[in-house]
Amino acid sequence: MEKPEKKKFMNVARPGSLQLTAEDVRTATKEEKEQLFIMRETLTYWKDAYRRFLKNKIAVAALITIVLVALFAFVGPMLSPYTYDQQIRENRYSPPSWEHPFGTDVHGRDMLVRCMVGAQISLSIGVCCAVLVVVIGVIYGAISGYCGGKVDYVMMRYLEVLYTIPDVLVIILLQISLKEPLGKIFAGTLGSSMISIFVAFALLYWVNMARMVRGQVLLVKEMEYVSAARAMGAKGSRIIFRHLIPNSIGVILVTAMFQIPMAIFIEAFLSYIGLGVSAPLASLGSLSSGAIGSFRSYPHLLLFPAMLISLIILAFNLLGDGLRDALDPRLRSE
Amino acid sequence: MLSINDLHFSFFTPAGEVRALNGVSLDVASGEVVGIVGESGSGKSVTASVITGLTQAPGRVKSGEVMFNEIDILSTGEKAMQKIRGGEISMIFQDPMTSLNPVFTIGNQLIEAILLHTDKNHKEARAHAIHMMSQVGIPNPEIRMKQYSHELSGGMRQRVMIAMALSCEPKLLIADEPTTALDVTVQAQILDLMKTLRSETDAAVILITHDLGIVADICDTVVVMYAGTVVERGTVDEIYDNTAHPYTRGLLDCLPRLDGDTDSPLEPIEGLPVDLLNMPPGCPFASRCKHTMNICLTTPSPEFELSESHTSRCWLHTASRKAEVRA
Amino acid sequence: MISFTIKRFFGAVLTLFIVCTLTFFLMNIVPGGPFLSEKTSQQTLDRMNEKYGLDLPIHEQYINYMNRLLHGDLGISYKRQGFTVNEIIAEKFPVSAKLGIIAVIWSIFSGVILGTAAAMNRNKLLDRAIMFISTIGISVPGFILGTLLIYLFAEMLGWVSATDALGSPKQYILPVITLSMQSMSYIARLIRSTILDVIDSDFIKTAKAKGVSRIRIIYKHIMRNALIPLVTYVGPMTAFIITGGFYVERIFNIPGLGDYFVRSVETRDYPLIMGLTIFLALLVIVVNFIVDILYRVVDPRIKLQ
Repeated sequence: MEKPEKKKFMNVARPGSLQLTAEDVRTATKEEKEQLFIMRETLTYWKDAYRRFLKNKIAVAALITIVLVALFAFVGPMLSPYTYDQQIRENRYSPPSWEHPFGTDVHGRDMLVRCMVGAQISLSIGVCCAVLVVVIGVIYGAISGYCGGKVDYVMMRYLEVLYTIPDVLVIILLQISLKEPLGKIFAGTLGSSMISIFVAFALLYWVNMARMVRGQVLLVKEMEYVSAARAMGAKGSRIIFRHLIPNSIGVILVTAMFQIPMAIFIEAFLSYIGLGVSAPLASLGSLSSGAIGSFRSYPHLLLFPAMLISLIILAFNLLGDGLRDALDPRLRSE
Repeated sequence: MLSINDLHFSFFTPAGEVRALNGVSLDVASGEVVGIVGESGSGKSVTASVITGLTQAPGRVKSGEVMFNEIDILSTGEKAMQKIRGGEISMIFQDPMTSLNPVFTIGNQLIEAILLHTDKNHKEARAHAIHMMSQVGIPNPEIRMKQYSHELSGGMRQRVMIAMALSCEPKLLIADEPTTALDVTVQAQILDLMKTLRSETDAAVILITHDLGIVADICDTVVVMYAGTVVERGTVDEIYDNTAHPYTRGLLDCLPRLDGDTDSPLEPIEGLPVDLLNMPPGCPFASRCKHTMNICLTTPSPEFELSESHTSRCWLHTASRKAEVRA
Repeated sequence: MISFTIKRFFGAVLTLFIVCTLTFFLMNIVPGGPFLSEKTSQQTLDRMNEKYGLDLPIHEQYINYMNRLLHGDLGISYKRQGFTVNEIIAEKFPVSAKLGIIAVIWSIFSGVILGTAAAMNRNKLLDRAIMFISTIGISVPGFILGTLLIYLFAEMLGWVSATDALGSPKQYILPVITLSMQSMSYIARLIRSTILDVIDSDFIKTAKAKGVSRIRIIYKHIMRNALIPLVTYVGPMTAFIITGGFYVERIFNIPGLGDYFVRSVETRDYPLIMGLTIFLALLVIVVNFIVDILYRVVDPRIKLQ
């Protein structure tokens, strides 16, 4: 091997060539050394997630939009001089004006208040479906993960079957068949379409949620063995509160968040094929699908509910994205 | 053959400038085996990525020079770098489990490398790949060629990586912690292989590791890095027998010794590595050093030349308290 | 592999069985049973009573119904008298299938390109623009999008005709865009996120260190890995496109199966709804089954497990 040619590096000095003062070579104290560390703030998971969420301008804007739409939907009707089923005969099909900012429909009903009520219905459907999915999915997933073994195997095979069932077709079937029986029970209050959407969500849509919760439970079970071995019967409650809930709640929240726009979407679709909420009640879906036929003559009837429903679905999707980015522990390393 | 001069490299993150390399200089002669030692975050791997031109945003070379056989790496375009990468300079990575593409066969990936850098046709490349595999001690190479990486053990995968790296007769091989992710027995096998290959090829090797034992085993010279600077460099003998820098001393004290005084406890280096976002003004090791002096807190030490091949960055070489370090 | 295929096959059969059973019993909840609830001529009623044995107890009806299904008989329509569901499918399905297949191909093609372009320009303007469009794409209900497209391009700009459904290749553009918007957006997002996962992986570092060119890394090393998750989306996409057909065919006046299905829902043609539901469910289940098998083939990692 040839001898490596060592270049004379810049700034190379001979030992002892630099004169240092006595003060220079005084041993530094511990405090002086510690001052060199500028401790960075350590963040808890939630603080960290919160901070990350706030940094995401799109997600924050989506959240604000949702709050505004919710106010519009739930507080708005109280402030309106009209009710959603009040017909003003002399004012049919009037375009947007000061009197009726969103115009009026075929029966002379104020579109603004109808949109408010429609948003109310659409939001309620979304939120109720999400709650159903959370409740059923969490219980199913937790049982499956906790029991393990054969129970888990059977429960997971059942999920696989559910997963391949064409959901919208089942909803349509439910809708058709439940319409009359349910219509009698819930006459006037909730449309049967809402009920059958709920039933469909309760039957089919919690598959992903159950899978994720099961995964989390399995993870925590692994930990449980460790701590159990160490502490001989570590308290179950501690494991649940310290590990399971903080670990799972992000996943649950994000999954649930994406259920809301999906439910609103499905309701709109059902409205289009004539299976939505029945008049005089209205959802944003039924308002916009009802306006399609007269779109050419009265575009305002479609425009407002269509924009609202798209805005709501968009906002929930963006909020879901933002929450996922903020809460997903896998992305935390950044 | 390879010469790095006063290299500064930073990652420009939203949180601020992370100063990964602060004036690194390094020379590698052909045939030489250089070990770069340091803990994680010391800049070992970043140095390797600069040499191969594989730096990624938000990382950027701020200043300095990297010359490889008269080629200025830092100003070479991407097209030309592709020719050099895998050809004249090749790399082996830390984790063989994830370093091979899971959806292509071993053979496919080996042949791809050979086709890129030689004018062999596909059939010749295949034959060469099989030859390389048997050379790195893979039994039944013909069968292995058709397998996917998940069908191989960790040691076998690392052998494949080595075969791939050597298949185009590189002039410089950079091995980034090639044994860290492997079992101890497999580590020994891979090291043996590297030693054998070392005598068979005339490639220079940069071995990046945090394991001083491996360095002593196969390297000619050692470069010790801390917080993006070279704190000490020298031949293996100089580093081990004539340790000059307190950090190197600390690293050696962390090693269990089988010979001699087995009763003395291992001495970990106290404190945490320096935060590269908030570099202290003086010596980066000052906060953890046993010999910290006032000047260490305010001014970084220059590089002191202790012998023709041995340098160290520590104020103690000027002070009269030098003897303490050896103690 | 074979045992897996058999297992999945039985899974698919089980799913189909559940769907058929569900269909049968749900239709029987309808007051008066599926065939009796609307004004049907006595003649039809008699014929159906005779043919389907509606006077029998429900479990016997069920067995008979399942038996007929097993022989490929999906029943008859009573609104379009004299036609069997099989005949209606034979007549209407080819139109829908053609549109659907074009939409599937377009979704995958444009989704992959958009997703790749977004990932390659991570956090740049193009990425943000594509992500914005794809978020809109999954947020605007298809029937609204279709209506707006018709209004804009057929009525205001007059580029295509609003009535001449699928008359010429140009007439396919709007229905295909409407039908594929949601899947395309979803695929674009999926491809983007998987590419970003893959792009930082060690084996891409290896490929770069080998000197593989950027273009080749993208189309060989990244795409092959990124396309694997796409295979799992083909099942849900089929379901999307089928239900999308329900409104797209209606909006664009396309005489396909989807339009017919919606019509049968509106007219409460229960036997037809049952038959079509089972047929469409079968379609989705078969696609899911094929995808499951295909997934094992394209991903070598799973093959041995």
